[in-house]
Amino acid sequence: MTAHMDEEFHRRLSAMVESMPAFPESVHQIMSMTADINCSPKDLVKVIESDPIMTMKILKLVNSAFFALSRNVASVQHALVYLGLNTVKNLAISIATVDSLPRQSIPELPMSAFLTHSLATASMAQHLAKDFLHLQSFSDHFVAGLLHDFGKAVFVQFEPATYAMVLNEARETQSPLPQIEMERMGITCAEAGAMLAESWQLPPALIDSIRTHVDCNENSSDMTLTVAAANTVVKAMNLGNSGNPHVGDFQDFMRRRLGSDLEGIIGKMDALSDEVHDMQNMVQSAP
Amino acid sequence: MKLRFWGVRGSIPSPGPKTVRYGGNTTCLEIWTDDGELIILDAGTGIFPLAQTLLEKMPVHAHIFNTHSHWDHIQGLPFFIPLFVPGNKATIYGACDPVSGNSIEEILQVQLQYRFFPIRESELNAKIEYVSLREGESVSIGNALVTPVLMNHPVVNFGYRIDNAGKSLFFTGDHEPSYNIYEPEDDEHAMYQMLIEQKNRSILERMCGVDVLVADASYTEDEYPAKKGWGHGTFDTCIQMAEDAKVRQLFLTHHEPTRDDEALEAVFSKSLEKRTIQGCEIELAREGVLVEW
Ligand SMILES: [Zn+2]
Ligand SMILES: [Zn+2]
Repeated sequence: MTAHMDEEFHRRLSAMVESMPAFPESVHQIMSMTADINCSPKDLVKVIESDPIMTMKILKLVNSAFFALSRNVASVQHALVYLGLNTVKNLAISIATVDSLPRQSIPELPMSAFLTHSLATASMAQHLAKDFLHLQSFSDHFVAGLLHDFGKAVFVQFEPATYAMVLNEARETQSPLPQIEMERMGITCAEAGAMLAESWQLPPALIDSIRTHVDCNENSSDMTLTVAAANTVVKAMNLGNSGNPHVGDFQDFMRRRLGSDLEGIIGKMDALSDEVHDMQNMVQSAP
Repeated sequence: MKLRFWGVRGSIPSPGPKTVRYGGNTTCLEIWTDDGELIILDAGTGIFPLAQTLLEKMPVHAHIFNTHSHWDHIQGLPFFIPLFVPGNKATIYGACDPVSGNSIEEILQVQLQYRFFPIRESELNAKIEYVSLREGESVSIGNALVTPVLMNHPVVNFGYRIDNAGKSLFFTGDHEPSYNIYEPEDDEHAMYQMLIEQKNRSILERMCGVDVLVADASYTEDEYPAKKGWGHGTFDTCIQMAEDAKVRQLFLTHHEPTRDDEALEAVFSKSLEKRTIQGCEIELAREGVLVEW
């Protein structure tokens, strides 16, 4: 891609994401919850963060340059403390009621399976951060897991036919998805997601994990590590679908840094699939 | 620096014999910097009597900083007489609304709509400029530096720190210290507490060591539980904040409209009795009082 095309593509994507629809059930939940003036802030956080689109839009606003000089709000809870409960509530309402495009869906990557994958990765990344790395800021890792494949949702929404072809080709040739994305679209979903996150001034650690979770290594940040490892674990557990036929290996350095092997992690996560199921019910009724 | 209180009442003007000592006008603070610049914090109804005193000083350039868009902090703006007189200048500063994306100009223009106020904006003869501020971005007014600090209120509320020739003042606007939305037994409790402490620290850093702090002390501790989430502080939270930030003098303001002078003094002295450390001077903000330092 030339620099010029790159910029053009980027501008187009960014503009289109504005009108990207949140998931219908989270919109419904937000509206019914906020009709009650005493709605529980905890529940509000839960609904927002079980919808990658809504979460992304809120982080985008909270970190935007028009409002503040700093750019470090990395979780929905942080947005709440930073901006105040009512402002976040009103933001969620405005996102829920904004005129959005009809949601695209392709059989190659049904949005319900994509959502399951995103939520499972989010939960798993949070568990890894909290219970294996003992980090206090585990909500940031939830969000990183939730948004790691945001670029895919954007591709499905705005280039459904092309992206369906890409997904098919990856499946038929059993090739890594990023490779086919590069060949057919000139950009990987990780790069597209990272570029968008960058233009919205999301926190650098989050941008980095979106961009580099696909080639996580020994020196990656904790956030890239939890997301990459979570990605591998949930694929091994067959939770949802990321569209990528290649399950990345659970590598030696992951085991070393997390202090557990794949089986050890899965062994502690029997509740995960129920947890994901509950979250998914929040955003989407029947698949 | 000179500070005069023109409005110290919260929510709604409350004139009458029972509030005559502390005053019934809503929030407005007049500040003159050492190099003679006029800074006005909030344009509650107190800005109207302030305007009367400016007539003899015209032409004036007023720098009006709005903490937030609630009625009791903007209501007096259309009655700020210098706006109608050619030769005067007003620069109005405030936060954008992150929900609608509206600038401070768009927010304030709503009250100037003809159906609410019988003068059209084009009839305001002073030169009026609007400046949307970003959190943490200081503006210079002569030799003074004014820095907006994001506080906690149902709408975005900027506290302002003013630094001028080694002297300083901080005004909170309306502010309720953040509270944890999780129960102690929830997994997220400690993490959320950490975020709150981080926010409190950043507010304290900005407030640190000011000579004068003017803070929203709407409620007593007893009243607070029923008003949690309404966006206001208590006598105790303000005193604590002043001690933590090592300020020299604290003025408690945003008095409840239903609290008459006697009741106000009673709850104030009760809160003073509870003090354990005696770091700073504490007073109730009172309409008309001049503080000079
Ligand atoms: Zn107020
Ligand atoms: Zn207010």
